[in-house]
Amino acid sequence: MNAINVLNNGEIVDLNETFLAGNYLYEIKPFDQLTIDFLDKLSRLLLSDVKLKYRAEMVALGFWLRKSNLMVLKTENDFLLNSKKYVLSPIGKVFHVCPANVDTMFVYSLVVSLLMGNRNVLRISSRMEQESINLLFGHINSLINQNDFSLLKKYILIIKYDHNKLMNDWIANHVNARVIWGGDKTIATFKQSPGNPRLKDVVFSDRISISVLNCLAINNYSIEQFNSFINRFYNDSYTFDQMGCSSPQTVIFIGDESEFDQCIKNVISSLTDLAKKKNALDLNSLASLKLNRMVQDSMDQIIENHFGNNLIQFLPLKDNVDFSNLHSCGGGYFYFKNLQSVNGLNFQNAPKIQTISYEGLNESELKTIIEFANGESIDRIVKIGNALNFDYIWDGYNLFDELSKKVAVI
Amino acid sequence: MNLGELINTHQFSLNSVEKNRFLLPLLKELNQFHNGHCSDFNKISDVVFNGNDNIETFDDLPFLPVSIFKNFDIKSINDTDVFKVLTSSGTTGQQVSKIYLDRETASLQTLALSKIVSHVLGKARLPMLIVDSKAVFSNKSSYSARGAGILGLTVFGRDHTYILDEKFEFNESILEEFLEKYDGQPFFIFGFTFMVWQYFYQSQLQKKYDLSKAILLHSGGWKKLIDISVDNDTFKQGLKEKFNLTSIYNFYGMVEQVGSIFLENSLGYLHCPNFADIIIRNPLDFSVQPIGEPGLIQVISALPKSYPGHSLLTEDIGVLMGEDDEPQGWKGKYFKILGRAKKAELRGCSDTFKTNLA
Repeated sequence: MNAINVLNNGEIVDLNETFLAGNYLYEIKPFDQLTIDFLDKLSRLLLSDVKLKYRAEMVALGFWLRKSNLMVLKTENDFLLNSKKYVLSPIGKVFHVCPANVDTMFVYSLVVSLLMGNRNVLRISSRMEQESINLLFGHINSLINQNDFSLLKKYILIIKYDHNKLMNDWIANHVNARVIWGGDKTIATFKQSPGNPRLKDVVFSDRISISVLNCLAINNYSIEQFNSFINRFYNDSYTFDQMGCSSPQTVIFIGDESEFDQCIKNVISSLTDLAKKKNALDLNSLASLKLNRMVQDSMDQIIENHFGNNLIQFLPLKDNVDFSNLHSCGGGYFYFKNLQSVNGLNFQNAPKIQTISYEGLNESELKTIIEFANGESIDRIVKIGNALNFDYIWDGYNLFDELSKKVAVI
Repeated sequence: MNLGELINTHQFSLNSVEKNRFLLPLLKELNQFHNGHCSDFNKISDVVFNGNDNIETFDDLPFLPVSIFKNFDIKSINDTDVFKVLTSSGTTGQQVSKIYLDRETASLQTLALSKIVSHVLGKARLPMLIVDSKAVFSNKSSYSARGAGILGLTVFGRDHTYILDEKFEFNESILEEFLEKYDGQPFFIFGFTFMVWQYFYQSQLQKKYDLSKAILLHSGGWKKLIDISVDNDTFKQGLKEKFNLTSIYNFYGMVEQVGSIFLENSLGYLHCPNFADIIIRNPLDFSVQPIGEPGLIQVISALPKSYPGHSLLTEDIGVLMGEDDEPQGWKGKYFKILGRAKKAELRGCSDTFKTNLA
């Protein structure tokens, strides 16, 4: 296998010799002090970088990496670290496949894996040009070149290569686990390189998310409460142009007709104002995108009509449309249903649903939703505003658990 | 006035009141026809335009996105009545628009186009110089767009002379011979806007030529020229200085509404003919923009009967510059194109996602 360029530091690293195939020691342990110090320093670099100040996802990552938070994670995973049945160990070498055009999600999988003491190779798409991600890699490189952390050089390798089956095969044969972000198509590509039979895959496939709103509760909000709700809904939906797998595609309005009318009217008008203020998307493109989708949805007989404008469109679904599988065109295009009660929902056999984000639900309504999750469907139930917040429990996995090995000691 | 009569009127002569009187009824009728003969159009009218079949003004007409013809086969005639299918392809790999024509619509298109072209060329077929190469017809990737455009206009000229050789290089001797042959006579030049600039204006010439008798028609969009900072004024000034060429007419049209072309007026803006119209739509809510406010261009034409293309929302961004007050007496609306809506690039968890925006 030929040598591969390492991003950002200009060094040519031969994977075969230096990283994956050689003999080496695992010098660090799960939640090693060295890793924690490294991540805490990285947190400070991210939070003090003025160029990242307005990137909400980078700021969130920065806070998540603070020592105090890492200690919380450690406590929450105490059952793994202090088991009477086993000793926790790294799983070994982990290959992370990062998506081309998103966010920081894959960084979390790197961090979890590093905290477990694994050696990591990240494949970055050659199409990835997001400035904030390059700044992040710059910070990682600058830290890793300090004497205190030079040991970690062997634990983080960031590579770029065009899709190449031989390369995928070779890596699959030399690592112990793969974390594959980027959806169904990417997963299918890497599954063509099955690797050795013990290779463990943690995959993040295409998912759909849904919001459930209680109209009456929202209608009774004070102005401050309502604005907070609108801001949280906006962040969940528009941060990744509604294309994040945790961003809602369909909104369920719970309430009678008049409660619903009032609620949707207020939501459209306030979201429009907010979206105008943020002015993040090119309106001409959005108008074309949405008109095209509306036309297609009309022909496919999915929608009844539409409410709103080209910053935010709400589209009432026809009866019998299965929304558990429905992805919008993004950019603020929400399918919706108005139901009298949450009992009208049935999610149990809809494995594509990932996140239910909710607002204004009472205790019994929330309990009903949680009961739906007792089955194939739904991996997360969060209050609106938290849809995009990464948690090490994601898509039904505890990543600390997945990326570690339990050594039975009897 | 029926459509044939409207096409045969002296073009650019109807003011807004007359357009409401003569053009609007034809469009109402056409809209009703498509509602009855194209179930997809009917569904879209219902859902996207709230079933509005009560058309009071041009503004009330439902509009389809132009790219619908790329994504779907959509027509208002039976398969047996299809006489010709027009296709357009932009860049290789992009989807192709498919426009289904019956004999009636095809002949209306030809008639309409000739009325507009003869408005500047006169009735006689003039000797024709084409700023392109015959190779454009053999090159599959560019054939349908450029080749079809050229073919459509060759009917208005004679002695079709291509001034680029097979390798798309400018051949000065062809120009020289052509000018000797038609010494002092009016003639017609056609080319795509960027071809005229890049291969004609920018060519290195041994001699100086006087093209003051020529009438240049050009089309195809400004994208490539805007990238090198050439606007319409620079374009016209350049050709005037180099060739003494002053009769220059840009026009705007699309395969989705063949025949319905918007010709450059004396102010340098694109002018609606009597059988067509435009509306500038606010991209926020598709409301109608007044003069001076940019938005997406909706093109309206009385010609498309075999397919529901009588009212289309383009992805071009434009601005209405005036109505009924062109200094040489042309009536109707005139506008300027500012650019094209970018293809929406949205982020997402998935590496690839389907977008219907063509």
